Amino acid sequence: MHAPRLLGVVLQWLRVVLPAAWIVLQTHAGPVSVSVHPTRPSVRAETTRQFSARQHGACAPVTWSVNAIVGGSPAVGTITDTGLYTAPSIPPLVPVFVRASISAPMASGETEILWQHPKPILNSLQPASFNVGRATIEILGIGFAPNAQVQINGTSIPAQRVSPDRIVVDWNATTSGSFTVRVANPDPGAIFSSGKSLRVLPPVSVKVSPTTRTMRLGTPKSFSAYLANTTNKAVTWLVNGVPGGNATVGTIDTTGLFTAPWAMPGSNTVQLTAVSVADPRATSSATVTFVNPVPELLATDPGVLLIGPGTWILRGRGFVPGTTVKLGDEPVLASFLSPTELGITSTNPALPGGRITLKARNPDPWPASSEMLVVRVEPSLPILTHRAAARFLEQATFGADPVGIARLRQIGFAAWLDEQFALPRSSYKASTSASDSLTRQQAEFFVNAMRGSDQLRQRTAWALSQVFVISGVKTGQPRQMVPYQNLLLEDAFGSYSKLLRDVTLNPAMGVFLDMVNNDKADAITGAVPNENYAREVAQLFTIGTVWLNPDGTAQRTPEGASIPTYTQAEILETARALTGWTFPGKAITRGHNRENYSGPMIPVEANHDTGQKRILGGVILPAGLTATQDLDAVLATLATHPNVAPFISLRLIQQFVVSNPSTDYVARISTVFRNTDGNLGAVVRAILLDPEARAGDADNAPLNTFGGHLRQPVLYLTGMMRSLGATVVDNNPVESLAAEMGQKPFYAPSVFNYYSPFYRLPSGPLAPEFQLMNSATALVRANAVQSLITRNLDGNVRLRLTALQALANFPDELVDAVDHALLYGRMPAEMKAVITAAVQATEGSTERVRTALYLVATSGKYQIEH
Amino acid sequence: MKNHITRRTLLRLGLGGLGWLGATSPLARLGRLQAQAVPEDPDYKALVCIFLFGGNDGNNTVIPIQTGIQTHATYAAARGSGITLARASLPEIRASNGDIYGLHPSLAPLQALHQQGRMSVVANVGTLLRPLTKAQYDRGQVPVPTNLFSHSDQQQQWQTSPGLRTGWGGRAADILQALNGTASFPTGLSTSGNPVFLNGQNTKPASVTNGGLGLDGSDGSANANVRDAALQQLLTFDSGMSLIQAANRHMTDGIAAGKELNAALNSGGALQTVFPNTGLGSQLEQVAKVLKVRGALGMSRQIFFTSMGGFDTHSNQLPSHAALLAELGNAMAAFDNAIRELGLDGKVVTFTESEFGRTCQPSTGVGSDHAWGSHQIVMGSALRSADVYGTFPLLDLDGPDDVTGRGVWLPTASLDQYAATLASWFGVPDGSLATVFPNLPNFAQPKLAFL
Repeated sequence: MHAPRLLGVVLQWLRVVLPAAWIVLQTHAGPVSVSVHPTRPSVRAETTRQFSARQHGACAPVTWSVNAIVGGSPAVGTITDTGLYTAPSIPPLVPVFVRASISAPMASGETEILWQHPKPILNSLQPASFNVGRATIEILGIGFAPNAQVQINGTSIPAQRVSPDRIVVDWNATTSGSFTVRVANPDPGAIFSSGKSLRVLPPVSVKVSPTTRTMRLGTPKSFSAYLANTTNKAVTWLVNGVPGGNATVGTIDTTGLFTAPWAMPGSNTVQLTAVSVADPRATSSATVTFVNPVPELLATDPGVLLIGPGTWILRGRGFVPGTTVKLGDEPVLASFLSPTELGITSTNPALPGGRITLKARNPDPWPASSEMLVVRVEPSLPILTHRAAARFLEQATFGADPVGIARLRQIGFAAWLDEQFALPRSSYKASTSASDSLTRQQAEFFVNAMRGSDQLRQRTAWALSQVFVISGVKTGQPRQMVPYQNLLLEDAFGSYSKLLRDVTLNPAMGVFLDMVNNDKADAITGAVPNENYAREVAQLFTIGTVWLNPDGTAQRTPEGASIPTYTQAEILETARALTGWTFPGKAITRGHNRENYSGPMIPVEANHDTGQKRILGGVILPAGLTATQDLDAVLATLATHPNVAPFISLRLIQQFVVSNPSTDYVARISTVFRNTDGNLGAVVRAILLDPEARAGDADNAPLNTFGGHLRQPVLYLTGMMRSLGATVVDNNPVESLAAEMGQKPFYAPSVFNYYSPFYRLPSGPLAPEFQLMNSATALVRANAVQSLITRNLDGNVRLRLTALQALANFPDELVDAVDHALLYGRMPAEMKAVITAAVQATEGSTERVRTALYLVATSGKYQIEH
Repeated sequence: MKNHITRRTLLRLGLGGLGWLGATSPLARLGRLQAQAVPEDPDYKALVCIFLFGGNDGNNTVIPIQTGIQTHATYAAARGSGITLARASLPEIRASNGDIYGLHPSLAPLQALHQQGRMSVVANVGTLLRPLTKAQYDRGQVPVPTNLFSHSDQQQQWQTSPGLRTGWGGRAADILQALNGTASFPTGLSTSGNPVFLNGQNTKPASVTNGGLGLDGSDGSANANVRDAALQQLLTFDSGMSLIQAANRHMTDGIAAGKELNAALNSGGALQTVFPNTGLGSQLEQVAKVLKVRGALGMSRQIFFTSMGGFDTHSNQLPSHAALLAELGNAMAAFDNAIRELGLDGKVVTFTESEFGRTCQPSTGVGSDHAWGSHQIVMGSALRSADVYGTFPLLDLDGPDDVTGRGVWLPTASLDQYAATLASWFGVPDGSLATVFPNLPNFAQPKLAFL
């Protein structure tokens, strides 16, 4: 290949150079001649060549011309005054001669120029690299001659020379690697460019990661697409072939974040595909297998659940066929309506906090539970507010339990009272035990208080037991206490006169206040009738020591002194009138019956003082009356005394409603007492329905500065327990807590009860229960709360705190629930803020509930029932 | 149930210095610091009231055996057969004038104290508005306290003085509380509920029980601290309701007094004197323990209220009264030992009160009924001398001292005189006695001779 080319060059040289030399030789032979050097040079396009003119016989200025054109022209090349020649960029169409002329003398010389193609220069390849396969390569450079050839790794490739600086080749690269590209210009002056490297890459590839994945419906996960052999990292994502996916199969964004649909598509798998933007042939896929979502709960429809059985909708998302639902701790019937709706059939319980939690759980595959949803539970069609019903019940019962509140809200006060009056009574189990222990009866008391349905009767009997007091201090045998307490339960709604008579003739009372076997004066022993019952029946059970107005205030002399209702002498004579009674048993004419508590005391006329007596109120009982006649007269005198109505009314109002009733309130109840001949059921009803008792029911009820009463220890305990839905075991020791607080059931310190109805705060208001409250018992009361809520009184009490515990992560809801349960929504904002903050700062769900309960139950706001 | 008892036991131990706060707790250290910082007042004085609720039968507490006016036979004749104590059973004490009296057999432990000049009887004390004679009483010419035979009224009047709403102990504390300087612990301390006795115009007492020195669950844990801080904050809120304010005040006082007392008790060390395991024994033991740490508490004057119940012996009196007085006598004797152990001889006066005496004439059922004047016991080496002070009534039914015919003695010393004597020793200036005891000016001798 080199030999022929060299030969061609030599031949051309011979043809061009030899004639010129000949011409020069001819001219030189004359006197003046001009010759041009070099002769017959080869000049590549757009390159320059310096010529010089040799003058023989002259030294004249030289004029340079090309093909007779002074200075040349673009077509044949240009030449400067000094003989610098620039070859044209394209081949000249005619032979080109450079001539140097002088004018004086006129002479010239010339030589032919042999034009050659320029040396091509490769500037760049576009692309300089590409993936295996056919590619169109733009070769950019300069000096590409027409018919310029392209060689890749020495092999000529068909090329299209588009312009001197651009050649396009279409090349099918079958292997990857590094290739050298050259461009060759043809003759004249055939020449190769230097090489340029061309990189052929393997084909573009995409790899998606991960390639398989199990995903919960409704959750997002990122997928990655790794691209090789391309700098273009862009991919297009498809879900089951759909760019970007859709709500049915899931959506995927440009970054590869795939969000599974909430509902299971037709198949439980979908294909995610990444397509290289650089090379759409390059794709990669992942298979996603869907499992059940974690359900999310949004709301119930209706938004407040109604207590009792019913059906309702639970809204959310991620439900699947087989989603189960728990209402509190109880599974309910849930039917799948759609991924966003479940149909629920449940029996909604009345709960202490008025709130319940809902939780949904999806089954296999991958079972999962939702977060909790807190929903309020209310009775349907209530005619009373929660506050009104709860207040009423804590006055009328041993505590406002959630179930009772719900029922009362639906039926109203009047129907509730009618129902209570008609209920069969709880009673203490009969006992003939003469042991000095009332432990069983104390436990029974709390069992009845917690579970008995005849709450009003029990509560009334408990109130009466604090007016007509006997105490285990002296009558501490079950055979004594049981019939007495049963008597109070029996007579609770009957007439006051009957109660007074039954109490008077009860043998336990007979022992307690010494009326049993209280005989007429005995000349031998010197003993005279015992005054105990005569005095206390007057002072404590009927009329009190001073004359009262119908509104309960003391009558006063003009000097301001109170007026005694009886004299010591009258007590002495009344004691005589009440002589002659012994234990029940067989009728006897002398002596005493043996101890026996099963029935009323019976008279023994021989032991009765038959003399004339001037009893209470100056009533004269003539001589010769029987024991029964005298007793009837004494009781009639007492029961018909005008003091009785206000006396009993005040005490019962204090027990049920308020320590400091207005005089009008007492007067209204006194009137009922008189108008009904002392019907205790009617009196209790009037006390509970009185506007003053109900004044606090309204949501905007004004504060009564002297309102409310301190929860007596027994009611503090039962109220708290009932409000929190607690149960107690049969042999419960709740009495021990009450005892520590100063109110051991059945063991009042004396006939004066645990506290006086006249006990006042130093600041003035009556506050009977405060007689048990001091710096020490204040702590004892708080400690009783602590014992109940932390140790459940050593397991003998069960507080159902799970519903509250479920709220532990919702401090606001938890505190609202405790407010609802214990304060009926009356917790002041500042109190709520403090307790909520404390709950938030407490570690542990059980501890959170305890903190909330403790702070509310020990607060003055709760301790004072109002 | 078992745990429950354990807790109570622990709290009782708390009073012994092993309390719910560990010995190294900050409060305990505070207590010790206080103990070092505040020197004991050499002029320290304490009054200890033992109230015998129900009306103690004075007639069987102190019995004339051989006096200028009567003998045991006089007593036996008036008492009848059922509740008379046999002469041979009576521990004798001798009055300064040579009269011989017997104590109830159950009070034998006090006989020795009398012989040592540490115990006296003050005869026939009762509530009076002004002195009066039997004739004046019969004719109603001179006012007498209201509801003389009513437990509740007379319990109140013995603690307050007739016609007053605050307690005489509290009023004495009002006048003397300045002596306690900056001490925050109350002057009055009750081991028996909240007696009106300790309520003053400006002073309010604290109470202690076996169950209430501190808040259960305050164990220093983070959760407990959160709870207790919130509790304290809630106590500062004003509800605008009197009863709520009162409840909050008791809680606030209880927490403060409990902390202070517990810290002091932890600094105290054990008491050597062994007290009987009875209600009054436990109460007087608590008083002794508080006396022991009087310096730590920074006290110069303290008034204690303790009590027993069950003295309303209408029937079956002999055994029950014997048991009651045994509890009283044994507890008082132990307390006297503790006073000596604590080096408080001459600085503590212990005295009884009871709402009324009982009829000398027996009642059916082998008991006695409510009466009026009765005998009281005072104990302490501060007593002027061991004696039977005052005028002993003539035990004669329908006699000159009996206002009803059943042996209801017209008091010859009024509660106000009795109490004023105690208050005066305690430090109430003579000029203030009429403030504390408004009825006192009605009596020629404002103070009795026993102190």
